[in-house]
Amino acid sequence: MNCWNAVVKVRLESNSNPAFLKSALAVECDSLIVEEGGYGLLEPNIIDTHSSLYLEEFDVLVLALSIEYLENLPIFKKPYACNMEAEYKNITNVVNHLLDLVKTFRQYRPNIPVCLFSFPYQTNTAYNFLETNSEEMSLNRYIASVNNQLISSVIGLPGTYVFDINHVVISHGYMNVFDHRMGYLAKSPYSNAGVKYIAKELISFIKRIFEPSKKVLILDLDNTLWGGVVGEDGIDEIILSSDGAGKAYQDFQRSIKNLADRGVLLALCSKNNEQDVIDVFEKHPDMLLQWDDFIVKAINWEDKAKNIKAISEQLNVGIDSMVFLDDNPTERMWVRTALPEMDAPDLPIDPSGFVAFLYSLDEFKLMSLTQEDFDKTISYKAELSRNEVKESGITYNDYLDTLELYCTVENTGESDIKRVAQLLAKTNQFNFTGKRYKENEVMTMLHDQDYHVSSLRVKDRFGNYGLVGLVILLKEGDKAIIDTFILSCRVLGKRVEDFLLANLCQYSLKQWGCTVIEGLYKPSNKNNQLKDFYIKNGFDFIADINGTLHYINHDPVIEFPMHIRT
Amino acid sequence: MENKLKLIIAELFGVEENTIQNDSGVVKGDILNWDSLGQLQLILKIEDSFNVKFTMEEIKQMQDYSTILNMLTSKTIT
Repeated sequence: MNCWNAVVKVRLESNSNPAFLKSALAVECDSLIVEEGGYGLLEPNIIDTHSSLYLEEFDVLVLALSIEYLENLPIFKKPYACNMEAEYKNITNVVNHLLDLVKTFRQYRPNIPVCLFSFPYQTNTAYNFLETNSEEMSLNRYIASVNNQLISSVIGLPGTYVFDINHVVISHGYMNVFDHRMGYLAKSPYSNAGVKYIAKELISFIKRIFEPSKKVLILDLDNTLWGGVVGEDGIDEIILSSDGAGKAYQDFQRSIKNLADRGVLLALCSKNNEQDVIDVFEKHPDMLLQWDDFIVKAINWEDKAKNIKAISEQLNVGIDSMVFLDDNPTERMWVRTALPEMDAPDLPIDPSGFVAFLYSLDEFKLMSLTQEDFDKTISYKAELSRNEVKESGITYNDYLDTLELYCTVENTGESDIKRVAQLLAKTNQFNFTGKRYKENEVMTMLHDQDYHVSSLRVKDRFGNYGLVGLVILLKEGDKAIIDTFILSCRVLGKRVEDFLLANLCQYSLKQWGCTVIEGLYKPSNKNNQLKDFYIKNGFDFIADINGTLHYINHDPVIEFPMHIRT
Repeated sequence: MENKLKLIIAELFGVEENTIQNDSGVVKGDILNWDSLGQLQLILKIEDSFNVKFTMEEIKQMQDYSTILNMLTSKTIT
């Protein structure tokens, strides 16, 4: 039913009876094939490598642990007279034992992911109010410790995941998820409804193991990011504030921003006058989302399906990797009709439910997070805007011109020493001589009359790159030698190097009175792109001395590239 | 109520409604899938559908159609 394309085979193992969870999983999702290993056979099945577990093929192993797994621990049996120190040792034992089981299984089936259930907190325990008021012990704090240890140990195990049963319990309530009659009669602790809730969440969880989450969130504006219609009500009348009912929209904006922060790309698709919308973004004091948070904006009176298609093409992201949120059911319906692969879930009618709704969407749930996810919007946006300019049929120089490139060359100061040393140590591609001077060596050069150390800072309309270039000149009579010439790869392809060369020639001539410039190039397996650089700029090759090529220019007046501003 | 009950049984076990006769002693095992797991699933479904709750003792007794019907009737009357 609410499921995905490929068939996934699930193997359930439990210390209790997995039969009810098995049938609930099958009911909730057509594309699952579920097998279970029998009542209480979790451990024997894993330990005995001739068991049915190792005979069958499946895609994911679920260890549906129930609280009974812990029930033999003394604290469960005799809560008031246990030795707490020993009890806490038991936590480590239990967790290690579970990890050993996982490791045993993965030794034989290294590529099959494993999901372990966390342990549910209990209600009405022997401790009652002591749960939160006793120094000695509490059952739920104990369960929390088991869960925490389990979670932190599993984070280091590849292909192993913890499924949080407590999230289901919090959402639906202990009394609704568990049914003690079922525990006694069928060795399955869950109620009829509970087993369905768990199945639904587990399906969503398994889905994320096998399917990437969606990449793009396309948003409507009126009655979605704010209440009311800006084109009709005006910017002062739309519902959006930092308290009261309008805060529901602001909170929704924050939750969208949170998604963007960890890698979901945002786009706008709204029927409006663009200027009205820009006014809201610029002038409304309670807008949290910024105009620039959206990498593509389709604000016009065109058909939304058409706009969404255009967004998909522009971003080069398939329509099936995007989600469309719009308060208007007619728009959603149309988009779903025109683009059957489009995901356009029904937004709740009341904005108070928007945040929970967004976070509940399977489409954006994640199993893991990397630095790339955090930086995705920024890098995507820069790439996109650069490509946008590149694609519009203009020459490369025209393109460079539109970059609004600014370069500043300064004498390197002591405050830049750290960054300069880092460039020296790390730069391989645009590095003519590969000399790895240390901080103190550069420091000495700063105070040496015969050396000139200068650094380059670059920014363009897409951002500030900071200190990205370094030149070290050495004066030998009327000759200036380019001892070191480095550019960070982040600014390559913008002809910044031509600017830097022109600049250093100008310096040598005007400040030092040098009429001859000597360039050095020591080829490495990374700096091949530099091999023609000096020749192209009017230098003559004179000698190869111990693997370093020497070039000479007797008329060192190099033109500054037109597109670079200072 | 009887029709609704038959419908539940028929749907759950994938059989025709008319195979379940009022006075026939349809019991666990007579219908494919009506095993101990199926029996519990049936009782839980009846509980949800009729908004009633059975005790463990009652559930243990409800192994055939007429007992189930009697138990259900007694619950819904009171």
